[in-house]
Amino acid sequence: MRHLVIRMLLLVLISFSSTLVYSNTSEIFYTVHGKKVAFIEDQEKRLLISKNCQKAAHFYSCDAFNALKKASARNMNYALGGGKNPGAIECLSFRGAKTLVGLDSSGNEWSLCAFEDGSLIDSGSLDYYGEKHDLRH
Amino acid sequence: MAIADPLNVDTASSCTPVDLEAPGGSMAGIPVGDQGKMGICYAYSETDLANAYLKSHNPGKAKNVTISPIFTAVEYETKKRKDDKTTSPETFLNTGGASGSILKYLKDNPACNASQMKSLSGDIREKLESVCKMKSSAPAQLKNEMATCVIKEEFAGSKLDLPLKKIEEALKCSSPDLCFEDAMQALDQACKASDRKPIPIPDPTVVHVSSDDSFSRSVNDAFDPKRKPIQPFTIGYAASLLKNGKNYVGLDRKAKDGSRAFKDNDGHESVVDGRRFNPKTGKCELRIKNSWGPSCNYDYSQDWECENGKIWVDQDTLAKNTDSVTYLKGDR
Repeated sequence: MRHLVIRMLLLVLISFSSTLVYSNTSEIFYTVHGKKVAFIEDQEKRLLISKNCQKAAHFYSCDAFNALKKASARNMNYALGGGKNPGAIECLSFRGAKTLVGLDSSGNEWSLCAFEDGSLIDSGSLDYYGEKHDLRH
Repeated sequence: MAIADPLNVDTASSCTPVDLEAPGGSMAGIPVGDQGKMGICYAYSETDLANAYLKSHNPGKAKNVTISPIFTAVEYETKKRKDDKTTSPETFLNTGGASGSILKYLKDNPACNASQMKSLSGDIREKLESVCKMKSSAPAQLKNEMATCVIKEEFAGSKLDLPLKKIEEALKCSSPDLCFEDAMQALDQACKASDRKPIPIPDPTVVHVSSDDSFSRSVNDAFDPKRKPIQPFTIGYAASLLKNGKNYVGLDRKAKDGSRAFKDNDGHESVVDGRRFNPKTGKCELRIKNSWGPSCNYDYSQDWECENGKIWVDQDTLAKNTDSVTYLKGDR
């Protein structure tokens, strides 16, 4: 009985995570520091995150993913002089995180936030979830 | 959403479509840049204008020429510091610049072809600051070599070939002036005088937008179809407009102090390279090519449509948030 309850709780937890994240995803590559890195893109969820965050079919766990829950754009305006990318500035609020630029196959530059565990997230996603998070709290 | 007036033909007829990214357009093939945490929107947008002008006026020779925004901003701000002491380490690559300043700089100073400068990590400011933090008694040659390494790594994608950590351990703090001297020397080494070529661009036209009508006239002049090839222009505007939507007015035209004209301290400069009439809203729209990369994940307002990092914003709202228009006139 106890095992059954634990198993059911796990199932609920996994399905909750998957509804938070990816319904319709695609895989794309960017060149970061000369190396090709795979990303998962979900346009509906406005999310672009490195594939190394994907631990199972619909389960994601990494510092970049956790950052979405803590992101905040509050009190940031003072730091945005010169048209700085707001997601890149938000990135700096996470301990050990730093900004990088990835290149796509057309030579476009993508600002990315790199975390200590090697996970990466697009600055646009960080900005979006930061603003949404602030609205809720 | 507003309902279009089907009889409003005047609006539609004065909003002739422009798409400079279409094949043959002056902006075709120019990638979307991302300034990251650096406050150099003015360099990203104005080097785009220079690149578009070069490609469209001399497509054969200039096909592979790309002027680097970061390289240009580092050079411009470093020289500015040397000449008039107006750039400090705190403001270096951090607070933006005046509209038209980069175009004027490029016109007067030969530049290097930056087509190979692809590997940008976006933290050049930090790295140059680490050179600034060196002890003032450190050998000038060593500091210069380190600054050169930073430049090479940022612009040419090569790895640092000095034992960075050992050097950092051995050195502490130095005076900011020395840093700028080092940066200048490093830039001169990374882009030698013999490699530099003049940038054949005309004097930029910088219009201070004093009213909505003045904005409309500037847009029509910049996109004048008699000038071929049509060139893009940049706008100095309130960036919060992108997130706050059509009712946002972030510009106080009556402000006496220019720096306070933007209510939210969010002055930004971006390229405009398209125009269209939106029959759903009955509005003329301009396409802003932002320098935050091609991502449309940002919390942009639902009033605007985003495509690959380019945002369609209605001209009326943009007029209320823009204080300058800058462009290079094409040939009539």
